[in-house]
Parts: sequence; structure tokens; C-alpha cells
Amino acid sequence: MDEARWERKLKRERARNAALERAVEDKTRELYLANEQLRAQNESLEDQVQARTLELKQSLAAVEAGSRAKTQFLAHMSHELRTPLHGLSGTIEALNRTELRGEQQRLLQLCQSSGARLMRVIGDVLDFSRIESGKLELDLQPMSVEDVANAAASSFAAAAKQRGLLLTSEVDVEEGLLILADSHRIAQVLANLLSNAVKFTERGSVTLRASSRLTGQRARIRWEVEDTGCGMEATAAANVFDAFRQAEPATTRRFGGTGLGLSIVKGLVEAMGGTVRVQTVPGVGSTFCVETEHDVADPERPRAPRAEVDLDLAGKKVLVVDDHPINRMLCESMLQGCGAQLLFAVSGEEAVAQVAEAEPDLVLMDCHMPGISGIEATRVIRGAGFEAPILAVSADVTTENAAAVVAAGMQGILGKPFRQAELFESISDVITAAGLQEHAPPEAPSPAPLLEVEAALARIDGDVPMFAQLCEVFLEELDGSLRSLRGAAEAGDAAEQRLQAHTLKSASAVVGAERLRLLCFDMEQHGRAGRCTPEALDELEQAAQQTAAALRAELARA
Amino acid sequence: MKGVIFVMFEEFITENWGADTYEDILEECPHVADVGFIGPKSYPDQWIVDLLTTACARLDVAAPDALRAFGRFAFRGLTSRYPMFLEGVEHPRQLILAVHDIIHVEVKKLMEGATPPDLFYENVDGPKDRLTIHYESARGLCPLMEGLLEGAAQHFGVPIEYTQSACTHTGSKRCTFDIRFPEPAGC
Repeated sequence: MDEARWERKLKRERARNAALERAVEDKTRELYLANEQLRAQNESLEDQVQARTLELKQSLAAVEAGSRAKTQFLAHMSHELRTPLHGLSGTIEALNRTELRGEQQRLLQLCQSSGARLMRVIGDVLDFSRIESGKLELDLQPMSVEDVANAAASSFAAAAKQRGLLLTSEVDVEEGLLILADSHRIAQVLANLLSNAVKFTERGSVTLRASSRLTGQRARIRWEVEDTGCGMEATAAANVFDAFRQAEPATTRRFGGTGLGLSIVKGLVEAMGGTVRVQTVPGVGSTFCVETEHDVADPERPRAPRAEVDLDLAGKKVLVVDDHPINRMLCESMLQGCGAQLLFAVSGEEAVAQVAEAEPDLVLMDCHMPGISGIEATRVIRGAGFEAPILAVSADVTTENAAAVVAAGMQGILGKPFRQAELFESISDVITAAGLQEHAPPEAPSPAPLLEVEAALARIDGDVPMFAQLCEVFLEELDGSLRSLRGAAEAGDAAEQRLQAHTLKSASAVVGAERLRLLCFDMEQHGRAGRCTPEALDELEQAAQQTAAALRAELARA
Repeated sequence: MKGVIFVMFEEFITENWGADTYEDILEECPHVADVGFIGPKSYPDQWIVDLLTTACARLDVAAPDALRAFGRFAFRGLTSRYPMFLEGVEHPRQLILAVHDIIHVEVKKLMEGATPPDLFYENVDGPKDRLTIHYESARGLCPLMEGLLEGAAQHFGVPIEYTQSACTHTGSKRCTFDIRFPEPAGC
């Protein structure tokens, strides 16, 4: 190649180099700008993420605050509603212990049954709220399906009879089957269903069925409540488990009720991991079917109802702390026969001072008081080294409050309103736990009370005339039942004897003949095992005669 | 036209006919004689036509033959510059199918202002030994396309047979190549 060509080639290469440099510079600038843009976008994205995170945190805080406020409101509501109600029911109880004329007695019973109804409504609302907030806690204990079913049926026997309905209970479960379940909540489900069935059935029958299917250590229980009532249209049936809904708006006007019953049933059943459904035909009737599954419990006898506690606090100093005079008065009235020296404080501050000064053997502490609360006062008292038991007495029986009470150093909590027996029972529990009671409990368990009229009355909304009628029917049938029972025993017909004992057991439950009911229960159980002694029959007959006498006395008094 | 084609053209002439021949061609195209072509830059399409026409006249070669030969050469040049487009490709049919939807898309991203030809395929899902390509380009360089096809066959070491059933130079709207692969993929 000649010189000129080399030079041209060189010139071209230089131009190429220059072009490449420019291209690289352009590309570098382009990359720089793109990087800048990316950085700005990144920053903007980070800002957005931060802003969104803050928003979410604020929303979460607001939701949590709302939830806390709701729980707190619930606690206050519970307190505000239960406190005056406690005053009311306690006053009625106190009034009931005074001399009353017939008319006064009747009016007082009316007050009592209205109070009981109001208590149930409050209970419903609280249960509904607990279910809604997922705070329902189940107390799993061994329970007999048969006993729970029969008790539920018995408690509606009177109401059914009053409406001319045939109420039957058909239990088909494995012999002696005990399941691990919350008997109180199951009874509540059955009571709700039975109450509706009786309420909405004009004529015919209501049937409660319980059946079981065992698979290894699991028992599937099917509960059915069938009625021959008015039934429901399909559209109404579809909504019947919704809160505040009844089959039709007219129902509320005609039959009353909060419309929470079936929603609570659904909530309770679902909390137990079960299902509830309804089959209904308008004008023919409805069948509510609940299915639950439980662990099978060890075959030991379910705990018998507690015998009434006889509280002996002779020589003990009991400090009652409550800002409300009516509550102090009630405690005084309920504890006056126990032999305790009662001291009173009207505030947390005064309680702290009284404890230091008088060194009581037991403190009954209200939780919500102006100034320092009962919980705060307890902390101070415990901090000062006071060791005697302190029992919280509060209308706020939410889990949070119960936990706070224990954390502060109290031994237990008693919900307001309470009855004398419940107060005695709670006191007995805390002082036994603290080893305060000097007398050892008797070796043999005291026999069950002969009559529990109050409990029987409570089951029929305190309807005294109704109770009188039930007692009369019971007394009319009693001799016949006893004869059949003895006849079966003498003929060695264990199955018949068991059946007769079972029938008498249900009837005894209706009139609150607790001792007779337990003896019938024993006979039924032993009969199953083929171990029914003549002595047992004698004891049962004797209890039946005592029951009859006591009932006649009750009737005469009423 | 992207500078890479001009650069490869210079290499093509220089390697086959010597640097002086390239200088001769440039002397006859004074408007590009001092241009230092670089790959990423775009230059007028007419310039490559001028260079090719001049080269054909100077070397006494028919333009289509020259373009075909340049196509075969350019295939090697392109694959050595952009090896990533051949990753995972095992057969020319596979490569041809990737040209329009993958390679040209990437070329447009990498080289601002690049206007590669449009390729449309027929018989994509049909028998693996056949493929029809419709080639559409304002430049009308269908022999270059033939050369590239031959370059691909050479690269993968498999034979390719093709016929051009339509051509813009004979009045068709586009050029159509019916290709047969006697040794399809998987054989």
C-alpha cells in the first residue's frame, strides 16, 4: 500500500477511534442518567413502602385499640349491669328471709324470676360477645351424656307440661359412657334448643335424642331436638342461626327474646368443633341436629353436685372491701351466721390501712372502686407481706380480669351477683387452699340436701304455682313408683328396676329432690352392674318418704 | 444500516482480496472513504449498496453472488461478536425461529435505531424438517439472507436445502424461502 493510502487508513482509524470514544462517552452518560433515574425511582419506592408501612401500622394500632376498647367496654358493661343486679337479687334474697305475707311472697318471687330472666339476657349478650371475639373458653371435664340429656329434658318438663306438650328424652349411648366435654356449655346448647322447641310448639311433642358412635377413644355425639311446632319456611331457616334474627319479625313481638339464642348455639357448637343444622317443614315441625366429637373420658363417676357448704368462720376476722353500701350490707347479711367478726372498708386505700391495722384472716375485695382499685390495693397489701387469703368479688368476670386478679395475688374470683351458697363455696375454697379452716373436713361426705327448691324453681323461671302443681303430681305418682321399684327388686328383674329408678330419677330432678335423685342415679348405675343391694332400696325408700314430707311442708308453706 | 455490517464488509474484502482492493473500492466511493465505521452506529443504507455495487464491478462478480458470499462470512462474524445468541441452540431451524422474536428484539435494545428485517414463519409446529420464512425488508437484500442460511448450516454442520418461491425483485410483496432440513433436530 502506498503512503497516501496508509495515511487515509490512519485517518480512518483515528476517526473510528474518535467515534468509538464518543459512543462510549454517550453510552456512559446514558448509563449514568439511567442509574440516576433508577436511584430516584428506588427512593420513591422506599418512600412509598415506608408510608404504606406507617399507614398499616396506624390501621393495626387503631384496630387493636378498637378491640381493646370493645373488651374493656364489655368488662364495664358486665360490671355496670351485674352490680345493680347483684344488689337487687341479694336484697330479694335478704327480704325473702324475713317474715312475708302471701301476696308479698308472690311479688317477691316475681322480682326473683324477672331478675333471673334479666341475668340470662345479660349472660346471652356476654356469651355472644365472647364467641364473637373468639374468647370463649371451654372447661373440659368428664361428663355423662345421659345425665346431661336427662337433666336438660327434666328442666323443661314443667314448661312443656304447662303448655300441654309431651316432652320425652331418648338416650341411646354406650353404657356408662363418659366424654371429655364442657357440660355447662352443652347443657346451654340443649337448653336453648329445648326452650325454642317448647316456645314455638302449640301442640304435640318435643323430643330430645342423644346418641353416640365410638371410634377408638373418640365419641361422636348426635343431639337432636325435634318438635311438632310451627316449623319455618326455607328462607327463614337459612338465616335462623344469624345473630339478632328470628324466623320472622313478628316472632319477636309474639314470643320475645333477643334473637341471640340460636346464634349462641351455633357459636358454642362451633367452638366445640361441632356442627348444627336444622330440618324444618312449615306447619309440621323442626328438628335441630347438633353433632360434636369428644375424647372418651376415664370410666369414673362424674362429679356429683356439691353439697351445700356449711361455713364456719368462728373467731375469724373477715374484711369486706366494697365502695357500694348495698354490697357491704349484703355480705354482712349473708355472713352473719358464720361467727366471723366483720370489718368493712369502702375504698382500696382504706382496705390497705385496715389490713395493716386489723390483720384479718380473710379479705373479700371488690375490684372496681374509685381511687386505687382492688387489684392495686391487693398488690400493695401483698407487697407489705400480708399472707391471708384474698377473694376478689367482682361483676367483671372476664378472663382478663380473672387473670389480673390472680396476678395481683388474690386466690380466686367470685362473680357478682352471687347467692349465699356461692359466697360460702368460694370462701370455703380459698380458705381450704390456704389451710385456714381448723376443722378437718368430715371423713364421710355429707349427704346431698334433701330438697333444692331454689334450683328447681330457677329452672321454671321461679313460677311458684307451677312448682306446686309439679310437686302435687310428683307426690301422687311417688307411691306407685316406689311400689314398682320394690316389685321389680323382689322379682329380681334388674332391667325393670333400672328403668323404674331412671324414671324416678328424672321426676326427682324436676322437683329438686336432690338426695332422692342421687340415690336413684346410684341404683340405676349399680343395677347396670348387677350390684343392687336391699339396703340401697331401703335407703332410697326412706329418702323418698323424707322428700315427700318435706315437699308437703313446702306446699303448705306456699 | 448498523456499522457492524460495514466493519464486517471491510473484513470480508480485506481477508479475501487484500487491503489494497478495499482501498480501491473506497477510492471509488469518496463519500465514505474517510468514514471510520464503528459497530453500534447507524449509517445510510445507500452506503452499503454503493460499496457492494462498487466491489462487484471491481471484482467482476454478480451482486447476488457477492451478497451470498458476504452473508456466509457475516454469519461467522456475527456469531463471534454475539455468541450469547447461540447459547442452547443446537440446530439451524431452532436458530432461525429465534431470529425474529428473540434476536432481533435484543438487537433493537442493544443498538439504538437498528431496523432489522421482519421475518414471518410458516410450518412452525409442522414437520421438523421443514420451515417457510417470509422476509420483508426495504433493503431487498434477500441474497444476503441466503448467505446467512448457508452460514448457519455450515456452523451447525448440518445440510440445508432451500428454494426461494417469491422475491421482491420479481414483483412479490415479500421474499419467501421454503427450507428443508434433511437432518432435522433430534436425528
